[in-house]
Amino acid sequence: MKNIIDDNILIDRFLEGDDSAFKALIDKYKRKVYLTAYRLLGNHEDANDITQEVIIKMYKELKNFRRESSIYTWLYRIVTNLSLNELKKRKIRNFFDYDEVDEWLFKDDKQSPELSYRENELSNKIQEAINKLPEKQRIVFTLRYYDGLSYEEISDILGTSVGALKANYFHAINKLQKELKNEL
Amino acid sequence: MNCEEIKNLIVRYFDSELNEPEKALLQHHLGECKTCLSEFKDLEKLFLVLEKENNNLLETKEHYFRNLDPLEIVSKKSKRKWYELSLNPYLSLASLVLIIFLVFFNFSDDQLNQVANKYLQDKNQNLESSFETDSEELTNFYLNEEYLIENAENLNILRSEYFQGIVNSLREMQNQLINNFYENEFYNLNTADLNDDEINEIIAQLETRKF
Repeated sequence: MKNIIDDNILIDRFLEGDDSAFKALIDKYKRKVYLTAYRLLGNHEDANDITQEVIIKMYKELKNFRRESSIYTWLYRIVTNLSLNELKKRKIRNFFDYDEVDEWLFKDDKQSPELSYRENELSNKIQEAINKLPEKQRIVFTLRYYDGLSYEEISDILGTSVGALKANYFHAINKLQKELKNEL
Repeated sequence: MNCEEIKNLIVRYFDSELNEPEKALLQHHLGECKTCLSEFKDLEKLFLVLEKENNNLLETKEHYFRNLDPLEIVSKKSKRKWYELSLNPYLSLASLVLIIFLVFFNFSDDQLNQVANKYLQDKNQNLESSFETDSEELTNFYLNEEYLIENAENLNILRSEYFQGIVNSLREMQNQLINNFYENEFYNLNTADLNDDEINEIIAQLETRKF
């Protein structure tokens, strides 16, 4: 509860024109926002784009936040929706086979330092296993396991019943266990 | 309770979703069933591995997080880039045609001129009546870029900085068009409104209109 009150104080200060309050609010949640996008989209570049979009959206729309739910539920709704939109865009891009051209044309480009993390084999395998989960299972697993949201909060964000979410989580764990069998 | 049902309890145990009687039931079963005990230990390992990897990821990204300045992002993004001003897809398309024209115009090499002529002929033949919808425009962009790349490779200028610059511009415009198209079609919808089948249906519709 104290957390929500603190957030509300920061929001009030920001709405009164104090940008440092906005910075404090984002600093508090930026890790969660980035990591959620990273788990849902599977790479740094997209996660970075989504994080920046969330920050801008929040800056523009915080005045419309009605405080019926906590700020982080609102943030998760934004990051989940933006990530889902990105996944849909990706499907359309894949339809145009654009990535193959991109990969071929710039295959000599050096990797960014941020990508060096991906060289870690186990991390790669875990993220690949998460990427293989069906979309709904990936979202539920990410929000539940990595973000520690309650099923009620996830239900509020996704508009799905708690029972269905629990079933999704169960199947996600089973699939991850099978995919990562050799790593355990 | 059979072992299949116990598996459900094991998952819920690690999800902190078990009440006391369920915990007692699980504990009792694990004391008697080696298969389920092994399953329990496997899942315990899985969660340990996931936790360790997540902590590693957080550590690795700390530098990124420290440099992520929200106010800088807001101030940068409020200044729109030049191509973001051309939200009209037709304007973007016209700019692309102009760039393609300039690419060929700037090279005096006969071979390039031939390619340019052939390109314009092909373009007229293939794309004459295809500017009516967003999806068709996207297809045109795709064709233009593919055509450029294909011919540029023959002329051995593919890796030149100049050409890459042009391709980058094309990519930005193509993405912009995709975004415009996407926003028109989907952006205002709640994502919960569209399931995978509906997306596939839209892609299937696009596919029939590709060429």
